Amino acid sequence: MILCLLINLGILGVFKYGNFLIASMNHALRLLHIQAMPYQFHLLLPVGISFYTFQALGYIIDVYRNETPAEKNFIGYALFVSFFPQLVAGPIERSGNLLNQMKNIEHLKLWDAKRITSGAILMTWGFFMKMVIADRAALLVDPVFDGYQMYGGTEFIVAAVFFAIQIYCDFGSYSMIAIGSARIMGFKLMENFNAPYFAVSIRDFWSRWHISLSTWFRDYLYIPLGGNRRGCLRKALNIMSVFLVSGLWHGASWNYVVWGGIHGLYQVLADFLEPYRKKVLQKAKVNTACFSWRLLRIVSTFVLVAFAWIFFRADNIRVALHIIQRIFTRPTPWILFNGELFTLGLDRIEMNILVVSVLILGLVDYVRYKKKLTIDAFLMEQNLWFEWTALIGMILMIYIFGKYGPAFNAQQFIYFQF
Amino acid sequence: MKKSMIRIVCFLLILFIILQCVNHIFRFKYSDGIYTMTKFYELEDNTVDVLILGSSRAFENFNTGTLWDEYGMASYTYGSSLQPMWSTYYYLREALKTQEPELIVLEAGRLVTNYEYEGDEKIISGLYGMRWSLDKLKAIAVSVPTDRLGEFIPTNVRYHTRYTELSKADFYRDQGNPFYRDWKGFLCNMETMPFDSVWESSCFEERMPLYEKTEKYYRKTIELAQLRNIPIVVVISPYASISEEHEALFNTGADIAAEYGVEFIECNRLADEMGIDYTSDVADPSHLNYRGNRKFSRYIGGLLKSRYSISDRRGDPRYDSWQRSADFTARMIRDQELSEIGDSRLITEKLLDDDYLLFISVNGDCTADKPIEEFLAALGVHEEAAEGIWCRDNEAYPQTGFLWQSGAIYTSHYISIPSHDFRCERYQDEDGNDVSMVTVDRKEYRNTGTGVNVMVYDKVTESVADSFALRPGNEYGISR
Repeated sequence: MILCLLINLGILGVFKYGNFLIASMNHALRLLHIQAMPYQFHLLLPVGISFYTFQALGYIIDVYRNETPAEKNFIGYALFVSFFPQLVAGPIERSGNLLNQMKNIEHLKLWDAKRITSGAILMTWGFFMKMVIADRAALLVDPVFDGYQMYGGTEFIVAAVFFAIQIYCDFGSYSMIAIGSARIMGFKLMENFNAPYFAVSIRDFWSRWHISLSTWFRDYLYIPLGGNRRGCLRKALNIMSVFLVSGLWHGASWNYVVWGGIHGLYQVLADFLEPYRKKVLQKAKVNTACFSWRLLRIVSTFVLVAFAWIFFRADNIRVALHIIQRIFTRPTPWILFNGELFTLGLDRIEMNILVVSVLILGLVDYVRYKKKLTIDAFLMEQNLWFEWTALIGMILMIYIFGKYGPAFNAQQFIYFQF
Repeated sequence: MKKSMIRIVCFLLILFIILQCVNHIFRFKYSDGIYTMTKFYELEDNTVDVLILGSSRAFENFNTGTLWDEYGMASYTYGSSLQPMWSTYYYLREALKTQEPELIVLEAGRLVTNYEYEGDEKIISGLYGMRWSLDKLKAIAVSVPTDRLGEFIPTNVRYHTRYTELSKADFYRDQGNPFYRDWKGFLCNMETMPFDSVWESSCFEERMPLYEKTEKYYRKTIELAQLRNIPIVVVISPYASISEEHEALFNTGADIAAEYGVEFIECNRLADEMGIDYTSDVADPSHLNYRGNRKFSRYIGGLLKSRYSISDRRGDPRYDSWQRSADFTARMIRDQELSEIGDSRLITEKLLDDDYLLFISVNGDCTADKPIEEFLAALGVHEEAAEGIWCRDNEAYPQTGFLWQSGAIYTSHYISIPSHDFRCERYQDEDGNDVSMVTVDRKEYRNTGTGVNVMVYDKVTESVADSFALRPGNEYGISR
């Protein structure tokens, strides 16, 4: 197993982290006034390498733990690792789920109207998230983050909120399309997002965001490290380790590590402050069973997540710190009133379209959150007129308001780079 | 399975119909090419006798109204702006699918095209109006670099973003504009740009080779017409920016036409004979205006009529739309001529046209102004020095002429016709001055504070034909 892990992680390490490691070492050596290594890898990073490497690692560990029988058929194994819908950006499937389905491939019904409709709805919703919301939000996010020297606090706050929406819709859309297309073919992939911005805490957020990765880290790193069974300090250390590695998984750059670290820190602090928080709430007689308390928690979680996204989106830590500094030192609230907001990349009409689309996203996520129904399940249990109206409305919005065609530079899925 | 298949087919059918409607609203409707084709497809089969192909020099210089009025020619100008020869060739292929003209006129001003591809906007306006067929695909393929084909096909990738610019024209048949009702592709240019001198091309005999792609499709166009046994004539319409280089290319074009036994008429050499006056008959360096295109069309129409067998369709009920189109063009020119009159004594007779709706408003003291008094009296407004608004409709009220009139302050009157809403209002401004205001669809027409404001609405063209003012002390002068 160790050999297999080393080979897989070695490939990932060379392709993805080789230059990062050399650059970091050079930086450290320079601080010690030691001559830096001039070498650099000139390799093209294979698309989605982190996703299928982790999928392969999961399989190896499962086999080692006897949780999954070793796949004797090479073609079957190759299909499991390179299953095209989720190959480049997940969800990172578990061997127990996908391999078993692949073994039973001959029992699949070729024509299953319900299954195909369900997959088509998921794919349509995915395209809506990507083409109508994510790529539209990018039109505001990119100029602000790329020209960070020129903007003030409100612009950055708006851009950070929009980036939170963009990255959710960008990554979520890919997962939707992958799950939808797999379902049309008869495969059931695991869910990757579950109304993440309705989370009431950072821990809750990570149970809803990139579920296939967070459960991977839980099962293959956090629990093997001891999880929460070895005392508070070890638990905190384990959480920090998982989130720092998770940050590094996202990209070979220190800003991703910091982003992961912030999320780890949020949770360690939450654990540490939990008894005091409970005491304060009891003393202040705060009603925690009402809507307003839940709303407060949802909003504050979102604020914390959006803050951390700044490190994720910024080119490096220096830029992220510059942006955060400007949020506090250069307030520009007037841009919300004098029309300047509409000069950041989205004019009034585009902004209106985005707001309406985000409201639709909010509704869909609310149904997911409240009724525990994905959009396909929800629509398919409605009357025909509603299902068709919603679906045609979605297709029309993609057709008219989708960002495609020569007037627009199509944005690659952000998670393709990971 | 059968039930679910029916369900899916029904869904896709509904979706398809809705997307077609959306496309209909969103697609481009440029008059230089796209709408030319839209209206061409609406023509009854085999009704076009003279098919005029070419660029804007075809559809701005060949006045289809004059050709009809003078010679009864059922002509259609079928082209787009800066249309290169390769597009013209595919235009001809498309036209011959439904029409069998008695004569094809190829306005070959674009023999000067010396590049491989036209700009995106011109490719779109030139080809997006064509119905889907193999010819359309070929036309796009020849007009666009191969690596950019995906930017033009499917066509909706170009126009789905038009949601920011949709207007009334996108929702109504014929763009809600009577201009397009019986349109025959001709765009009458109303501008005037005087040219004191134009290069004399008569004796220039030099030759220059045509650009390879241009020559290839020039030949193919002639060959296609001959293959279908339809006479074709090549015409260069006169223009002010004619140069030695252009003329050398036209001479080569004439040689090629001669190879095929096709007549080549270089009208720059005949401009004097036509009576073209470059100081008044030109709209811009490349096009004639409404004065010039009538002279040119009268001349070239006569020439073609004398040399080719072209039917006179006047009086044939099948060709009523050509009559209506010619009348409409004449009406537009009449409106243009009205708007160019600068003397109040010369305009009154024209204003009494039955198809005009006049809104005359008088503000301030004009009692001592004889020219104003004369002008108002000629229009039937006899109350000396009276301030107020008079709305005159000669056709509906032949006796009094006035549809509504009021001198009282704080009065308003609304007139609604299917195409527009009018409001006449009298009120006092913040300084206590009486104000007479006339608005059309919430747009105010007022050229002067003190004096007479006249707004002329043409019921035929359904547009404001003129808006001018007479100011006290300005003699008979008209201000616009």
